[in-house]
Amino acid sequence: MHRSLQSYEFGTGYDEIFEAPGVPRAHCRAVVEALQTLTDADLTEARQRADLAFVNLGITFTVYSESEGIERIFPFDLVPRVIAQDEWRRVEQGLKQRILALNWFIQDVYNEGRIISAGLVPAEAVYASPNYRPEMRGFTPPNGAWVHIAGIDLVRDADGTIYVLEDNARTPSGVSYVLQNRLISTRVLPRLFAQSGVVPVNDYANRLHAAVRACFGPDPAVVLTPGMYNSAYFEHSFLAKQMGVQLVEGRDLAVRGGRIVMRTTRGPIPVGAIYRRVDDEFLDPLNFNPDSALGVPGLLDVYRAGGTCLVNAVGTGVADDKSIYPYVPDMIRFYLGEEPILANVPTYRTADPKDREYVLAHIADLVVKPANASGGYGVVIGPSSDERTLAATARAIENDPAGFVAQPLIRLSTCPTLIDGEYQPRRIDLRPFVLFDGREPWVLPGGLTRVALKEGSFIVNSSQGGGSKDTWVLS
Amino acid sequence: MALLSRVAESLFWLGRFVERAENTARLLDVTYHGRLEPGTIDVAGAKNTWEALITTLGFNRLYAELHADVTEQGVIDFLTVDRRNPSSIVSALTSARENARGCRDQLSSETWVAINRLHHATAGRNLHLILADGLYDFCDTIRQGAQTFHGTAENTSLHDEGWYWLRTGVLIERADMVTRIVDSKYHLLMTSLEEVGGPLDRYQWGAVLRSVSGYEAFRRTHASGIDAPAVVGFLLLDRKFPRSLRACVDALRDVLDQATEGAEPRLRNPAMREVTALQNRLQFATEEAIIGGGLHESLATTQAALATISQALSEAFFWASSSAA
Repeated sequence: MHRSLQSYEFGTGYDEIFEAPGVPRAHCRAVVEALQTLTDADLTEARQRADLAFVNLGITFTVYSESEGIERIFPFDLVPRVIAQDEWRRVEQGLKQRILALNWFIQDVYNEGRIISAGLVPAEAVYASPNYRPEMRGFTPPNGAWVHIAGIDLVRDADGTIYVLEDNARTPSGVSYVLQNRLISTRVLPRLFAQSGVVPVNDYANRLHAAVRACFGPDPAVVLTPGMYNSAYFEHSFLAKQMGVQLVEGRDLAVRGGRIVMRTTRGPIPVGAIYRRVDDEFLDPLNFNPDSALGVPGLLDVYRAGGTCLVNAVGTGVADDKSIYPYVPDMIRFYLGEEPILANVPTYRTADPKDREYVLAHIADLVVKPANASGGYGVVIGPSSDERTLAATARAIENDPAGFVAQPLIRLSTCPTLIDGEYQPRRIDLRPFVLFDGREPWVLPGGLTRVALKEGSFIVNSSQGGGSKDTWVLS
Repeated sequence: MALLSRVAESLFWLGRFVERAENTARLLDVTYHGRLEPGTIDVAGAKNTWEALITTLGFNRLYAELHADVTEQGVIDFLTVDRRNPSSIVSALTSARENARGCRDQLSSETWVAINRLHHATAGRNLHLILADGLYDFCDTIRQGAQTFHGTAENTSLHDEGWYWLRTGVLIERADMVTRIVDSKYHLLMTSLEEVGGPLDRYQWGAVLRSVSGYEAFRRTHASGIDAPAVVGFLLLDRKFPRSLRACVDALRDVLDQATEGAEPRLRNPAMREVTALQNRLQFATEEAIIGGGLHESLATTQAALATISQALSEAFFWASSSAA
């Protein structure tokens, strides 16, 4: 065994690959055996080839710091995260259940509001949400599909339980890294991959294209991007290319005769469905943010009149708001009549006086998150924060109780990760991707495993020093 | 599949900027290594060689704003890594890559990798590094990278409308550059009339040919040796040399025909008319007539025609001012 795999120590938490130091989990034995055959020289060479491939392929994201955006590669760790087949089957069922419940919830809150009448979700949590779009009241999208694509973040606690950490029902990103990570790992570690029996992921683009086209045919679908300075531009162009459709910017589109057209060298051509990677508020300067240069004036009116289909629908943010999250298990029971398969992390809503009192008293043990932000920005981890930060957070909660939620700290599971040539434990999460065409959900096997590369860190976001791993669901 | 106006424009500029970087590298290389030849510095003076290069590329004003004197280091810096010069090699390749990024979904993955590699090979360079490794290596990297780009694009892309816009950009830039190169030696043609066929004259025209990789091709087609009218004729009128003006314009007419096929006549005709007129003019021209009628004026007319074509395409088909959409 490679010396650092032999001496790999992961402390008291849950490790995805080892059940005890030196003892691989049953489903990981083959992978560990194959890893052992790799020498330092093999690993160094694979590392260099992977880095070079990412740079040459231009697989980058943009980090926004003080003034300018900097293009970075998303660090890729060679050691895969391995998921056993039986566990994945259960997770897959749980994810399907979840996307259906979120979808019916959105349909409900823009129409009858049954779940509110039933007293399961407080009206203000829905209607006062900044992500609730009154413009969509009374609307039903084609096939009743609001959330065509969801990214549902999962974490595993020290006792092995998998929790849903958050739902992303707007424009979740990261799937291109799943596909590219697979490409790179099969290229640089071909033997390891071949020996392991891994479920393929390359059907995603076909499935996505089918789900997008299902809601508005037969004119060509397009991918709408904010442009090449967007942090996820690589993914937008990648998906457009994989789907074989045009990648458009707002300025390429216009409204003509109740339809959306794209400006081509042969004149305007009607488009069908729009897989948009532009946020709601920037979609249409006439209806939303008037300063947006990214959108198409009048797009929302065409959409509501049935002249196009937006993927995801406008207004889905109401379902992935962190203050709605605590109610998702109830949604599953209410709409599907089933018990949730995947558990929620216990969540305190500081808008609720009793919860708030508890949060303020235990702030040093909890994780406080802004109710309405993503990318790991603004998250305060109690156990690793100083007094001043905690006091400032408490004040912020008192000033804006509805602006936050709090959760106990989940001791994210670890996975061996190559750090300076040694296998060391690093914390990981998982973002699976779920597609929904209005009939049947489909889950991409695995998903994006993000890894906190800093020792002891819990923050896996790419914008804050995270990396990623290939995720292997075993067949 | 219909092509977005914005994408057509990006592909056009991608082609132009890659070609511009390559031509600048070629000129720089020939100028730098030409000045090492004994005899040339004595007569022309190193300073004049660099000044001539800046004039050829049309940068006198911009250069003067940034530098007090025309020095070898100053010019090399200005043409290679100075981002204040939008046509320096590093700037041109950055622009090429930005345009490629903007239409990345339309490029084959290998074409994208080719342009991305070329960009990474140059973006981190500074003058010190370039001179330490030798200017030849730097220029060679650009030349090879550009050729890899062209070859990869040709052999891995669908030859659909977008491909023809890319080629249009390459050919307009290449045609424009060859007129500039010939024009820059116009003074040589005039001043060396007394000693036509002398060693300096032959050396200078040899350098011009080498800057477009035309030296060997010229030797094979002109057994009698190098003289000014023959070189001018070769660079402007040869049908078979791919970097001659005529070959570029012939090819330009073909690719434009393909790029605009099926477009409305009002959009298509202005550029097609102009390129056809230019093609006809070159088809029946001779080097004697061109030199006799004033080489400089003839080249200026050609440059104006290329600019008109570029402008007509932009107005009819590109995003910024498109009347098609």
